[in-house]
Amino acid sequence: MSDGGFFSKERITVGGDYNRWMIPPAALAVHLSIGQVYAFSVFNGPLSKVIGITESAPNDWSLSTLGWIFSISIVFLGLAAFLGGKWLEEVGPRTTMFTAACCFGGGFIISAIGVWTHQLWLVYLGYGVLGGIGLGLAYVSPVSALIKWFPDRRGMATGMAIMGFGGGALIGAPLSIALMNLFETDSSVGVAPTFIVMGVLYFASMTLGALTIRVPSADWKPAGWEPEESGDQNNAMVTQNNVHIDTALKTPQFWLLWAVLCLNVTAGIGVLGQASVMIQETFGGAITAAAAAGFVSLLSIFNMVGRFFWSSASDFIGRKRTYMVFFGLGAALYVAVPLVGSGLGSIFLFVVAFGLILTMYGGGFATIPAYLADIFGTKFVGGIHGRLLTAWSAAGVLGPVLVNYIREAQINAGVDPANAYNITMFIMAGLLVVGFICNLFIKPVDSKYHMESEEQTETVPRSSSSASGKPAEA
Amino acid sequence: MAENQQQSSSASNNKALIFLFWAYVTVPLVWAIYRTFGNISALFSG
Repeated sequence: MSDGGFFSKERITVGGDYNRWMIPPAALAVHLSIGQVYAFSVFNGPLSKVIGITESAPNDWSLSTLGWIFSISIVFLGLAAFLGGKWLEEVGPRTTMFTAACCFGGGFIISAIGVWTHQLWLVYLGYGVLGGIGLGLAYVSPVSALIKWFPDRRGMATGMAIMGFGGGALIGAPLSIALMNLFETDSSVGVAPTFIVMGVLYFASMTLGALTIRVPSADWKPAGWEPEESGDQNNAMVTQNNVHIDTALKTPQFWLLWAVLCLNVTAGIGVLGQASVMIQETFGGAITAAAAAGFVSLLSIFNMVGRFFWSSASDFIGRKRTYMVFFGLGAALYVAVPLVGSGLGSIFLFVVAFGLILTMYGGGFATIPAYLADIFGTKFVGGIHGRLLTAWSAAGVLGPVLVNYIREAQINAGVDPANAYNITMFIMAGLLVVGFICNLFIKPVDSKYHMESEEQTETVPRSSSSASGKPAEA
Repeated sequence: MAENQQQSSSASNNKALIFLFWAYVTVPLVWAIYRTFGNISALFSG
């Protein structure tokens, strides 16, 4: 596939007057699809009643076993991003995005067979393993192309795509519910046909993204734009060199950025998973279940908007300063939450504080690819980003464990549920202070890690048609 | 002259395609956000 075929990197390498504004929607078509994973919980209730239909029968799957579907998919997301990143740099984004479309769409189809035959292992294999591989490949694939197309606005470009991942659940949840209602009968909860339809829809949408993605030729740059070499602090952090994907892991900057992402995500992910219970316990009977669901929805929107806002802002204030704001303001807000929540009893200030925290949680995800491109160069940024996402997997374990176990320990120790989260909030603030220090230590990579100039030469030759700015074949 | 007209037509087709592609990804997203605000109203109305 890498020697000139339809999916090859050569076939999608263009330059000249190709309109780069075709690339963000191609990335969004993929990220809006895979963002559905955050809405998978809407299937848990119906999947626990596949046999009993109206209520769970003894042979039905339990909610605890169904919870593994999401967990497996996130584990395989991390593994695929880690292992697939280097492959992405070799074969280009069209191949990896199409592979991701086959895995994610195919995962739904296998899961549908699993539901029809009532074989849970098939659902684990389908949505968990295959779908998770699709998630990982699709997450990292468009990022590298976007950074190369928007060297003047790296943060904004990646923010647009990664905002899609945040927004995918907002589309996926009502779509799933509408389809299940459509296919529901007296003898079926409607999950299997819903999986089939969603698998086909997401495959089509992701394939559209794969067919429209392009990478710029090595000498391409936006009209009228020149890389700035001036000595201000933002530009001093932006390298014009490249660090090889394998060498990047040997630099202290990679591990400092790993810690930065892990700590930022840990602080947000625990809150996201526990938000509904947290607001109800903090304000006692003042918050109904419907209002708590509204709080969760609001946090999802803050999370999504923060991805675009903060990554775009980082183009102006610099990545390092953006993360300083995340960690500094985030720590202050976590300390303030017990005061405005159980202390002042202000629902409005509580919601505003967590809303801001969630914008910075999303912003951390969206700004990290541009931070990596600034530090390690753009040549291998997709692969390096994939490897850095292991920090997400670690935070996915650390965050919920901190929130859930500390709450449980507090309640067991006789603390009032309204105050059960206070210690957790202070620990989160402490983690963010550690993140602030890690970020402070990030400096440009030592020149000994840079690739030699001949190594940096683009290995993918420009196709004859690319010189005229047209893709060789779409 | 004919070549200029052809380039102009190609550029406007390109812009129309970009507009359609953007609409394809943003319309469902805007609809989903609008729909989500229905849930959020319950938070402040009690």
